[in-house]
Amino acid sequence: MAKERTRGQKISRRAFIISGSVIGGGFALGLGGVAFSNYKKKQFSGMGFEGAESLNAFIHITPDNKVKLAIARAEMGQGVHTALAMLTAEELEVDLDQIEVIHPQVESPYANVNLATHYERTSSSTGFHFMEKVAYILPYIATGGSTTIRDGYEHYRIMGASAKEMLMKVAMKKWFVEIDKLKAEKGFIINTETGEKVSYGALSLFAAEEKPNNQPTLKSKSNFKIIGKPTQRIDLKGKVTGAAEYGIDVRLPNMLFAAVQHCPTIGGEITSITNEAEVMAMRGVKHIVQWPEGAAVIADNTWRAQQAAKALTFEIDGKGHEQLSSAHISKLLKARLDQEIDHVKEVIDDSATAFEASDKVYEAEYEVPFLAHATMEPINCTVLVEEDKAKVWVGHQAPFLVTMATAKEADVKSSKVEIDIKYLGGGFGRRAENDFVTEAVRIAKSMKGTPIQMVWSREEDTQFDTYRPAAMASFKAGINNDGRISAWENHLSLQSVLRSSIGRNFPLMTPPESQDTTAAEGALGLAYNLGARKVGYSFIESPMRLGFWRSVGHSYNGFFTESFMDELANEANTDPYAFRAKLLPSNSRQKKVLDKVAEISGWNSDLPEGKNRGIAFHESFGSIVAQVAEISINSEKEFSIDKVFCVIDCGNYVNPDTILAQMQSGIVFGLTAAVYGEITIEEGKIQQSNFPNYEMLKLKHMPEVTTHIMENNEAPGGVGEPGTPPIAPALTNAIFAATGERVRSLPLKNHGFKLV
Amino acid sequence: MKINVNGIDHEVDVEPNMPLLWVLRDELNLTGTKYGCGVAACGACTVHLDGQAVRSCVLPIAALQGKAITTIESIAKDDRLSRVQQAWIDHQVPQCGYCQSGMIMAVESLFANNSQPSEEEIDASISNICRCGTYQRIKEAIKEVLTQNQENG
Repeated sequence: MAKERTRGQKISRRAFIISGSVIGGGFALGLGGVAFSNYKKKQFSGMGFEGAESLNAFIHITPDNKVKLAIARAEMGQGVHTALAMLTAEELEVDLDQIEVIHPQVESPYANVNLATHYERTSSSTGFHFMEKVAYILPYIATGGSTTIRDGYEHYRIMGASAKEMLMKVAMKKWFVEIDKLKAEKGFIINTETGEKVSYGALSLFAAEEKPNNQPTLKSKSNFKIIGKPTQRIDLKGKVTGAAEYGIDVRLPNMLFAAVQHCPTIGGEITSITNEAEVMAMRGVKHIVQWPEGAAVIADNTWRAQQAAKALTFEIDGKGHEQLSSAHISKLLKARLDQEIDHVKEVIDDSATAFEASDKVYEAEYEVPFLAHATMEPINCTVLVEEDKAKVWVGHQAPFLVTMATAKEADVKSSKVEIDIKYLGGGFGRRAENDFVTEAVRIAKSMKGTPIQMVWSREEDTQFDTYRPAAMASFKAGINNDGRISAWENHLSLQSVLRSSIGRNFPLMTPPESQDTTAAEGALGLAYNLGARKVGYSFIESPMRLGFWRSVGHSYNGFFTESFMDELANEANTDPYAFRAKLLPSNSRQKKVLDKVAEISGWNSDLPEGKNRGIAFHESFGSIVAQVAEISINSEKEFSIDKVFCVIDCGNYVNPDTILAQMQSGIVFGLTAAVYGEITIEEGKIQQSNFPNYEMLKLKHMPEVTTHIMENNEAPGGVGEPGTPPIAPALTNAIFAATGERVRSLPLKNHGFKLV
Repeated sequence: MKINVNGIDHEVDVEPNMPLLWVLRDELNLTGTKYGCGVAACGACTVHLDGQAVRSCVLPIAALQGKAITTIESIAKDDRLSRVQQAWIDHQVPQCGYCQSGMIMAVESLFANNSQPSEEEIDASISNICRCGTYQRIKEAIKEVLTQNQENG
């Protein structure tokens, strides 16, 4: 069974067998007609394993019984490589240490259907089917929105189970036995009648000829051996020895290094470099590249490139936003907030009438600033551009954008762009952008044939980020004397993340203002009984580049809504937990989560002198989270966060140890923003530049986090983001409980609070 | 310029003010030591200089003549992880992992100087930044090494 074929032959052959028509590369057929019909089956095309025979697009077993598993999701710390390997291993019946993760090329089987459609893969809705096709055609390969497990929970199990069936069929033929006499275990198939045993590796080439079943029987939850059990991550050895390769660690023969200096004024453009000859004469400098928003120096070492890029002096066109300031943006937000809601997204009954009938009406306004991502690994991308092709080495959350941006900037066909996705030294949404890929390609194409690694300095990373938007919210609630809420109005004022980010990365898909699904996420559909409701948002325009920042709209709406809930509890003279509990439907998942956090935090017990607690509750990305923060604070406003109790209901889950880690991670991320986080603008320039003025929580600040995971049989929810939204209000609510001071804007450092 | 890294002498043709970080990463291809901030604020670039933790992004190479530099690559001996590295795996510390080389180097040095650091000493000496927020597990892993140190005298 010689299996050597070229890639093209492999695709067409297998595609013929499976689907009856050649669909490998079939996107050229356009958006209509029969080209769609077999996309689901095409998940078994075997693409993604160049030159290798595979059982489907995800699983290839080598003769030495190693499983190569295609995972087109970014491993940025959230543990997805391990989780998807666990799902596969469960059904394929292999040990986790047999699995090696391969990041495949940008091909349709690996589309993130859940992220593209916001539906489960089994949905029968028309909206789902249309977006599902779009996802496969693009193909929409991206990691974000806490979707990896929601998208892959069943899918990777199907792939594992289907591959196992193919192996079983070969074993049946080998031993002339019925399938019920066979058992699959740890990468072997055992003939239970004779005790004979054969490795998957020995069967795999033959199994690849079997017809795959795309609806195999999956194990029931009670039979899981791996899923749902605390499991060691598969990526840690390299991460403790320094061997793990991140984008910035790529080293290639003859590689050069590039550093960038962007035009410091937002929206400004560089008309010329005034000291080019001087910089070219610096040691190691090979070349200078200039474009409107910035310039790069290519040198033989990152440090030399950085020194030279820093030395560049520019003439700037003066058409930038030299007058832009945070105060100005704040004024715009407030002016918009004071007008009527532009896009009303939720209406229940008539809130105006309900207010009239309320015993009391209470109002408050809140504000949050711009935030940077500050991934530990500064933005970087390595590119080799050749005459008609390009290769990119990068840690990235959206490989399909990498391919598109590279093809466009290098002027080569998409099919001639090869990607090599590395570990991400943090993503948090920043690495879902293509701006830095385009820049790296622009730099590399100036020296075709030479691989060039572009690394932004921490200062460039901070000042040329795609920021979490500044936002304001106004709330008005009617409270009745029995503590119930009779009416609720919430107006959000901000700049549109979707229009900014998608407008840059994928202009054709830019939604109209009214369809920004992130602006009010976490403000809409609240589980509380709030009586009559009117919730919506209005946008301002600003030249700020915005992007997805861990938990996106929830990051500010969690703070807004849960701060206001706390204010209402106080207005109603009710305990903040009891007040919320009364507003949640009894027996609901939400109520159970809230009750549980009260239980594990000992909410009703007394705290020692000087300690106080705050509670918050927020639902996001398919999961429900409640947190209690326990703090100590003195009269100088010096405080410590001693403990955080966290309860998450994320439905069926894969690796509970990862969930605990992600809750800790999300909490630190949210606390960092609540205490320190603020990007400000003066005279059109970002004021923060590096960790000394964009501070981070450290080891000494770390609260002791206790997390409880709810057990049920609901659909999986996300875990990468949901831990972040509730922690800021849990903290500020604790500060209110301690001091009576209501913090209505972040960060806390601006109110004289100091974390010690 | 001559430097000794992980017990090996290297001759590198670089400016005397080039920070050690970039000599390691770009001249010697020892990429386990990470660039995070360039201003000694985050600790991702932590290595040992004669056994002491230092932030290599601000350490000019000229200052290192005749000194022994140790990087993350030489902490595991013959593929055997150090106690700290093993505790990092046992407690599932790393997430994205980018800061952990520096974190481990800082902790190794802490223990080399003091096998029984107090909680205050740990808090004061481990000032590295981890954006994934792995601090709780770092504390747990450090505690385990502390216990092992106690048991082993």
